[in-house]
Amino acid sequence: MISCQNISKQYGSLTALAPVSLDFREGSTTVLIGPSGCGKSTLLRILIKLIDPDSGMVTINGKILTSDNVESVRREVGYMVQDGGLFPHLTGRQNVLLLAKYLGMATGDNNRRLKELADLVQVPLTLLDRYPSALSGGQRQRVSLMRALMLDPNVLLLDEPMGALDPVTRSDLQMALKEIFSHLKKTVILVTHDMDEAAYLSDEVIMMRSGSIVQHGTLEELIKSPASEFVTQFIRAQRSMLPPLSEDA
Amino acid sequence: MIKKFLCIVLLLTVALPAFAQDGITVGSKRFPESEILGEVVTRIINNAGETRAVHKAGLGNTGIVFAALKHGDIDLYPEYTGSIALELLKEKTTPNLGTLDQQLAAQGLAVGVPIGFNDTYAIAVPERLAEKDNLVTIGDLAKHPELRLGFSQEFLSRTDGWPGLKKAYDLPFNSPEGIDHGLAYEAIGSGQVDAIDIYSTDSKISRYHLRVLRDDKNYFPEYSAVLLYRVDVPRKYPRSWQALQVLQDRINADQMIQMNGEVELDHRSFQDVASDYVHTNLSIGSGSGGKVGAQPFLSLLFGGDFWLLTEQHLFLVIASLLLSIAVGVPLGILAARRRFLAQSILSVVGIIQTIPSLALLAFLIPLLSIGDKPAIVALFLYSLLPIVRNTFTGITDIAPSLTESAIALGLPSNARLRLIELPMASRNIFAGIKTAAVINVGTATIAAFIGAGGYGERIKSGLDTLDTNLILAGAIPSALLAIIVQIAFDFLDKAMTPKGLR
Repeated sequence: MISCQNISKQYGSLTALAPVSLDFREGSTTVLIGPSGCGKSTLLRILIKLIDPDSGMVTINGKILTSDNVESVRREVGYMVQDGGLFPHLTGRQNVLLLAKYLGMATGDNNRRLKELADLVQVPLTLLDRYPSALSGGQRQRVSLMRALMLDPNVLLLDEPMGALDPVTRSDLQMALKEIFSHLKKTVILVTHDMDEAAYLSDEVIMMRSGSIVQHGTLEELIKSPASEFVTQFIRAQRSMLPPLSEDA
Repeated sequence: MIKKFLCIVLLLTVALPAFAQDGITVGSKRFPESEILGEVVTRIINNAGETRAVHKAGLGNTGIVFAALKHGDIDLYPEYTGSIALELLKEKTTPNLGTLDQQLAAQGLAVGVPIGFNDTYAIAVPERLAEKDNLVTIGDLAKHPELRLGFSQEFLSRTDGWPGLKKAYDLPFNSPEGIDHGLAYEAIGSGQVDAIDIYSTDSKISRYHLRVLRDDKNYFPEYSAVLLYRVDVPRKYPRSWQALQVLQDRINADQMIQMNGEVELDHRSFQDVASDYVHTNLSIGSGSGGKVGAQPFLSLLFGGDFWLLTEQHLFLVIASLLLSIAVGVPLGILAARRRFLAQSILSVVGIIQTIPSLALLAFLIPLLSIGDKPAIVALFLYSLLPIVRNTFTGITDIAPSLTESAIALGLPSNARLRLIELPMASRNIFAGIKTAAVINVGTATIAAFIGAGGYGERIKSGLDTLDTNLILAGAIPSALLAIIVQIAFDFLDKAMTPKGLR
């Protein structure tokens, strides 16, 4: 469904991403985690060519990503950034429907899909008539998720979607996301630096450091047989603050 | 689509006046004597009944009017032999009319009809100062290097002006102050300068109690008033040309000083003065009916030409603004899209902004001649910077996460521009257009100096005749228009800004 072979990115002498090959498991949630600057966001961006890699290739839904097909392939992928990325001059509804309208899809179908998605992310339809500036942080992320899901993509890429939220809102949204992910069976790739979030949402975890993958496996594997001292340190540093939750994973 | 249509409309409006009209176009320089003579000539031609003559009055300095003549925008204008020889033909001395004629023939021009007076340059000082310092000849100035000289820009730059005078009399002054000719008398009257350049037919010499210094080295050449014309004029319009011969040796220096005084001191219009002259001396027309100058300020402000000038002014501002939107917004987009071009594009429009308006017009005159066209092009060029810069920053200031979201959605570049970037940059772009419009309203006053009309017409005439009321009658509407434009744009901004961006 989505995979990459040997992709890498260099900024001058800085290696943002050492050559990486990955095959993301279909229908499951993979969390890219690691400290700031570890290359997790770079990897995510390269997957839909927001950044051009120096080498390697990306395959989505059986198609090798090229400059010619990139726009149509992006439409098969949902993407969501930290602050939601809603366009401030458009209402929530216009944001969600933007691409569908641009592609000239039938209004009736669009409205049906809108209703369906509003139910899914638990946002009242009336809220969608507001401009982003009149929505709370959590509401913005939910509307942004609606936009990402509008064309029913099989792949969802989320770049720290809860990074800018307060703890209560974040926990609400995490619960909602977990439900949505398991319900929709999409291939989800989520970037975060929050171990707690990874523990709660992930089927698989990819831990990165300095542009390279340190370990790829389930959280349990990472805890029980860490590939290096760094993995243990990274997990422990965050676990220590949250003793009860960390045992759930 | 709309943009294309606008472009075509604009090109047409800009291009239309280019189709030369039939008849004779008379030009004149930007001072009363030239304007009076131009008007007299116009009335004589119209009276001959062969063709229609139009007077484009006060077009600017010698260079501008001469360029207009060569370009064929005007057919003839009153000129002085000294200017033709030294300034236009770059001669060292002033030859006789026959020789001048031969030299001009190569450019398709000719000179004729000596009008009868000599209006040479001269240097004048206040009588009291002359008395005190014993100033009689120009050479006497050399003994008083502390004197402050104030000369017109044209005099300062002409080869037969200050540079030659300084050499001929070995004068010790380094950098005389540049003053507009119309303001020079005011400046010397109020004691801001001690010596000015004047024309020997100036009406204000006695009014301001000035002493004209003797040119004992005969430095200043003869400036006999003549008509400078395109050679085809007598061929195409023989009867009109015949009628103009009546001016030969017709006006002497005293008569000319008298007429200049009526404009400069009595604040009559040059049209009225010319009308009275041809009525009294040549039995043409019915005269001005003895109209005298000084009107009450309000009737001057809203006087006869108010709406015409408003219309001309608005036309200049709107035409140039539309043109600069049509060019500036795409340029700003290009700069935002192709960052390697941004620096060059912004530098070029920035540099254009620093070119003084009169210099820019002088560049444009050889290409576009005089009138609306160069004025609109100049205003258009000045408007580019705020529009290009604001479009550029409007687009580049959009948060990277939003640009990224738009790309990630799978919208192609054009759709991103139309649906996301331009709407989000709209306030910025609009602010740039507003700045351009307000600046344009002010700058458009300069258009009058090249015959494009507008409120500057009054400022120009006011400067020529030192009529403060007339200057205000041009400056106040221009300032008010700028305020109205500002308010109108603020209102439009509120109405047009996308709701989510307010």
